[in-house]
Amino acid sequence: MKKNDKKRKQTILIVDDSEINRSLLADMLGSDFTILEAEDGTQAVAIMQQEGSGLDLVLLDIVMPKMDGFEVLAVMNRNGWIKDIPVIMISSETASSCIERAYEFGVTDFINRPFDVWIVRRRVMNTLMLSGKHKKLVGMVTDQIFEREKMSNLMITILSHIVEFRNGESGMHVLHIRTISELLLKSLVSKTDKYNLTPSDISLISTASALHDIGKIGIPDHILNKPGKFTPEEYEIMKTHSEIGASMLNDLDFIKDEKLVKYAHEICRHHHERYDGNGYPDKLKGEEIPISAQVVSLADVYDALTSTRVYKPPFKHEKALEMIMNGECGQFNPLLLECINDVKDKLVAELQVSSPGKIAFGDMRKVTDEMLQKDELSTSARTLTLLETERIKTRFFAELSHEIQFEYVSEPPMLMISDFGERKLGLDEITMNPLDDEKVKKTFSEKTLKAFADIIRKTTPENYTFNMEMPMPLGGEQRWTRVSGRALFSGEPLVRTGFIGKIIDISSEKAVINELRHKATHDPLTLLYNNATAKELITRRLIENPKRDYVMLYLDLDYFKTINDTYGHNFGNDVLRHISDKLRAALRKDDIIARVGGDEFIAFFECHKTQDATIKRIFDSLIEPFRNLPLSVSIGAAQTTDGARDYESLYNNADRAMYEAKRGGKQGVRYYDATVTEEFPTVTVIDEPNKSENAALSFLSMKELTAFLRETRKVHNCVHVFDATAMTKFAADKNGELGKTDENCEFFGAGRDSVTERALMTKGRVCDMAFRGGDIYQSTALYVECGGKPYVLEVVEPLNTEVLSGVCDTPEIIAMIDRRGGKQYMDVSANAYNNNYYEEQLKNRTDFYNVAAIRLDVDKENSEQRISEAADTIYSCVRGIDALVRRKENEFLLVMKNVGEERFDDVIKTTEAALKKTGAKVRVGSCRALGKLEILVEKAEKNIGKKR
Amino acid sequence: MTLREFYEKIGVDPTNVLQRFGGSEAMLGKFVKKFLADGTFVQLTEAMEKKDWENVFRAAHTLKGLSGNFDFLKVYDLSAKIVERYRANDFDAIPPLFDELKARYDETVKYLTEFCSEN
Repeated sequence: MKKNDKKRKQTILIVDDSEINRSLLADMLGSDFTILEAEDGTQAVAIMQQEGSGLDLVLLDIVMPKMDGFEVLAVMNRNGWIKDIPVIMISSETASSCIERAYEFGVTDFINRPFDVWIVRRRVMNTLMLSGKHKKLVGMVTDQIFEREKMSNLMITILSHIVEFRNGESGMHVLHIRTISELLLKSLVSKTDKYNLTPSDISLISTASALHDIGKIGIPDHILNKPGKFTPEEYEIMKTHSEIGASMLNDLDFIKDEKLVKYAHEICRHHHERYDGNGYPDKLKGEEIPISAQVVSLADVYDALTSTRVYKPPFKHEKALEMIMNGECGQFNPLLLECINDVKDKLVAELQVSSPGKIAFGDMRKVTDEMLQKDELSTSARTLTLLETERIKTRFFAELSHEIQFEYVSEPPMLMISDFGERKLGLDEITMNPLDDEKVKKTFSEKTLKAFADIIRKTTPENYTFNMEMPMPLGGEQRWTRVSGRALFSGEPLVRTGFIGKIIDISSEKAVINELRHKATHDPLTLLYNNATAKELITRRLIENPKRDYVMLYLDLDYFKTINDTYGHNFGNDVLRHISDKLRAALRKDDIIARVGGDEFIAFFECHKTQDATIKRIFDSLIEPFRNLPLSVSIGAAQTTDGARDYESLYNNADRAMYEAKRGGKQGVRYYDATVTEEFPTVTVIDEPNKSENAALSFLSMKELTAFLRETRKVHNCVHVFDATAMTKFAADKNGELGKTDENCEFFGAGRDSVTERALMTKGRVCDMAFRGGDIYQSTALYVECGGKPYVLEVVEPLNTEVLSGVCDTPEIIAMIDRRGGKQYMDVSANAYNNNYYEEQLKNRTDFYNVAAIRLDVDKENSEQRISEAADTIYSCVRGIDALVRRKENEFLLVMKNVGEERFDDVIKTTEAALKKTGAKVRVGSCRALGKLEILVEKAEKNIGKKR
Repeated sequence: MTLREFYEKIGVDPTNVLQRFGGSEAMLGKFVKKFLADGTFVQLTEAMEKKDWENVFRAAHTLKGLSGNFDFLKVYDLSAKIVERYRANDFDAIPPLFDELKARYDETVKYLTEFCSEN
């Protein structure tokens, strides 16, 4: 128990709904008490919850609103408070059933109305006194058990180490010493109180007695366990054990102030002192020797006499006592001799018990356990006091760290928050039935409360912690907070009885995260969503609302490149921002708007009856001139009602519809429908990385374009210009002037899979090749803008000497071929087509009718080098359009078309000769016929080495 | 008007009540004054108007306790009767009792006000 109990004013809680009654009682009790008041039962319970054992008494009215006196008693019983807090009922009721019921609930007394000062005071005082005594007793018992338990555990640990280590016989010895010391001490306090020994001291000394010989650890083995008598020198060394033990304990810095250690120190140092001053080490005399040491030295001697030692057999009990009484083992305190005489019978009996297996420690432990299990001690005053201290501590720290702590108990439903939280949140410290409380409802949105309740409901005894982030008004300002805590469970089976936790303001942290998140999800220029985020949001919205229909708009700003080039990038950026502002203004907050490319936007919103009007409005607002510059936009619209219920399909449909709109002459809106359902060909964007380079190709006027075409015509024979707005194609003459297109080039026209179309869609450069009319062409289409309008330049290269060899644009062509067939068509070392190309592209063709098979006989050494050289030699003898295929390891096919028989034979002869000239061993077979190439090749191979 | 005179006006011998207040006229006087500010009777009146018998009971019960403390015996008796009638589920008997109580209460308040104004 606390020593300052008397100083502390006792606290009395008065629970009565009438203010007059409360102040009357408070006045009657006078200023000797700290008075707390509660207007009704719920407040009373809340105060009890908070104050715990800080309450000394409750005066409780019965009839009250909200929660009456009996309900309060029920709560007190459920929580076990009734055992620690006495209750006096105030009542004008005289019905015996009512009084009986109250007593059953554990109330201590009754005060009847009308109040009488003297009776009120007397009853209160009596109750406090009784309960004080009760608490004190409980405290004392608990303290003692606590002390013993704690200390004996400590001792057993220490001793088991020391004793087991050195001296086999001491195992029993320490147990005996303990038992004897305890008997002696008990007898001693019954004879005199001059040593001021409390039961706790007795327990401590008995326990510490076990340590009396620990100094022997410092005595050399050969002396300690010597069977015979000690020499004087050995005896001197042996004697040092008491000092060694004492200094060992003294060195235990951190626990030397423990009472137990102090006793142990006394015992170690002085248990060989004798009452007449003839002992060692300090030759103390009489009462100079601490009583602990006096008792233990007597116990030590008795046990030494009655036990076997290496140097002697045991003496009988009576003989040992006689020797002690006669002073044969030194002089002892006469009072102690009296004691040992008194307990001599018990001594024999008890010592038989204190043997291994039936250890006194164990018995004591059992007793303690039993007592601890009794419910009277389960929530002892001591525990409550400790709890109270903890509560004060945590509150203090919570306030320092600016945390709001909260606690919720479900019986009765009550929410408590720390003082700091009370100020910050504007809630009361205690709220009964918080879910129905107006203030709570005002502070937190219904959504927040529901989310919180859901989280709590998910906790289990295994997963009891929770964490959530939610907005909260702190200090009148909406802040982001993190709420973490744990649910509490108790009972059998476990049920959730409430939760505790804390609220931390994470607004600044959140702000940083939000900023980062915003950066990651938004386009920095327009602050609209970026493409990836739009995709995620739209996908989620489609999944979460499977029954709703949505529309997606794909918006493309026409001639943006020109705007950029003409007015500069800053202006271009302003245009994009302007467009996004317009979009934001035209749509609702929940609609999804994103910038998905340079001048491309998407907007996503739910279908509604007036959506056409909305789209029209968007369109109209977007084509309004911006700083006097007329804008033009093409919009494609796709709806989920078309069957596309995922982002990709909607996006593709809207995108296609947008191109339809563009093709339809730009500046328009086009819904996706059956006419745009045809699949576009897979677009081969060969040189996307160069797009930016080509972006420079934009012309302000036709005059500029003509100048450019003239330059191009100097290099390329066939240059066409496709006007995407007018869907018309022109051919450029030598002066760059555009005239009507000639028929030869028509197949590169505006067909869906043409390079022109693909260049238009990718706004880039597309390169492809084609076999047409028996000839091979390479065509390059380049998207350009002229006067803000889109055009495509086509450069067609018939008979390009570099087409087939793949020298020109090699990486591009290989890449293209790769994408098509997934296979490499080129043989790198020979710089010729490989067999893949032959198998997949050539062998079924019927338009080549001159084939030569060239078989080389090459040394394995440097074979690739030889092949490469041979290929070079062949190339030097043939035309650029002739195809060379490395069909096998050391065999080439030379495929020629548009060549006469004579010329063909000539080429073969020349080639063979040239190869032989380089030192290669070569044989050639040829075939000239109509039919599938495969068959021709077969024949040519058969003809190898044959004379034509 | 002294405290004793006040008690005489309402027809009560203050000996008992004074004894309960430890013989302290000052203390009794202090609390008697608080009776004026007490809202229980207003609550009772409101509950009566609504025929909210449960709250009639609660207010009457409180009033009974209060008036008992100060030995306002007429008010005490009548509020005790209302409590009793409520418990007997005899709600019809309550309104006439209330009317009588109101008269007694007003009378007490009237003298009490006089007493307060002079002390």
